[in-house]
Amino acid sequence: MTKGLTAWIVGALAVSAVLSMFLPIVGGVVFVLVVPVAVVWSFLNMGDAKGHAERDVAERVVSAAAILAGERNPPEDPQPGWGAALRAELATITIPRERRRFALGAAIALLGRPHSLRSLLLAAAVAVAFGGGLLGVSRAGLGDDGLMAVTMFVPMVMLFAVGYLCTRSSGSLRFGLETGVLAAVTTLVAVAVVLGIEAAHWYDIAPRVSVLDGDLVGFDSTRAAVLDATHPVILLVHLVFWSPWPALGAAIGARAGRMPHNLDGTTGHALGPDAR
Amino acid sequence: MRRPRKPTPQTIAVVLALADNPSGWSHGYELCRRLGLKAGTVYPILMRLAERGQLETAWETDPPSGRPARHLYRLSGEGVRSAEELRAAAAAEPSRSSLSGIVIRPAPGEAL
Repeated sequence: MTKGLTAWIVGALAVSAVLSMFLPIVGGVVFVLVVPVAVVWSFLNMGDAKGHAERDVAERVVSAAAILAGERNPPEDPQPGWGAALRAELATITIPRERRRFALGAAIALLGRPHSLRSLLLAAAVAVAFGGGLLGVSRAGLGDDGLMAVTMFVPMVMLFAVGYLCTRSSGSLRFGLETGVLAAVTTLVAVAVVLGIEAAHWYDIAPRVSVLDGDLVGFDSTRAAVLDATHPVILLVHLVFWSPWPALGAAIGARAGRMPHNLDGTTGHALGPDAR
Repeated sequence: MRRPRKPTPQTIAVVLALADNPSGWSHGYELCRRLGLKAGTVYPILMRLAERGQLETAWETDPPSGRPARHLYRLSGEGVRSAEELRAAAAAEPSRSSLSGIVIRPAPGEAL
């Protein structure tokens, strides 16, 4: 499954790269959608390779939600959690429509638990660190390529690492995804702030130079320079390029780490009362 | 200091439904059906009640063959006290129904 997922992602990324040369928007959309679609598809199909192809959509949805919530298989987890409870309950429902309704509610229940403050703090720390580094790079000199060479590509690696490390260290894909996505958002804010500050700073030194790419543009005011550097389209392009990487990092972290490699839905080993 | 939040009508309904049979175990789907609520509403309430120590949970020890053991729920001592307070509050304010139209149906095999 890991090889299949990797091949799928690499192939689709290659297609998106080729498409981007001729149809930039289509290529961009494919690029953004590749990893999330691959990850969701991969999780919905977990367990099939182990001979559980008969699982219906409802069971796949609850299983995927349980994994995203960071739960393990009952055989690996001495204290089955709410995901196991919901899968066991689903197994008693036989009417397909009821199963689908229950599965949807179960997924909402599993994934809707309060966000961790830890995710937010880590995301804020990542953004502050990157913003500080970007400021230092800018003050050291724009070079020929401007700051966009840094803001576009360094966060890809950084967000991949955040998704990977958070998932790997916690054993929770949900935590890795949450933290990675939050880090992308906070980093975007940091980039916007630093680009704005640096556009004003460099306008005073070299009014004709764009902080984004180092090209000679010729702004007529500080405001024009700042608005050019923090234009919504520029920020959106950043987000488009960054968005796949936290998901990819979290997915690979989940598979490489302590997370289960299958979720076969066999929740039914009675453990006796676990009254709290 | 945090003020305790007023329970939602759905939480009150779940607590009172569990309080109908304080010594017996219920399961989640049964609660959904009795209250006419969705799993996405009932389970988060069960999770919160368990976190607050108001709910005891257990796994079925002898499930029928062919299906996994279910997770079972009943109120803890603290949960029972909370249910009594909710009942008393509802009795003190009969004009303002705290259940907002949620009907608690009897459990299977339970007389009205």
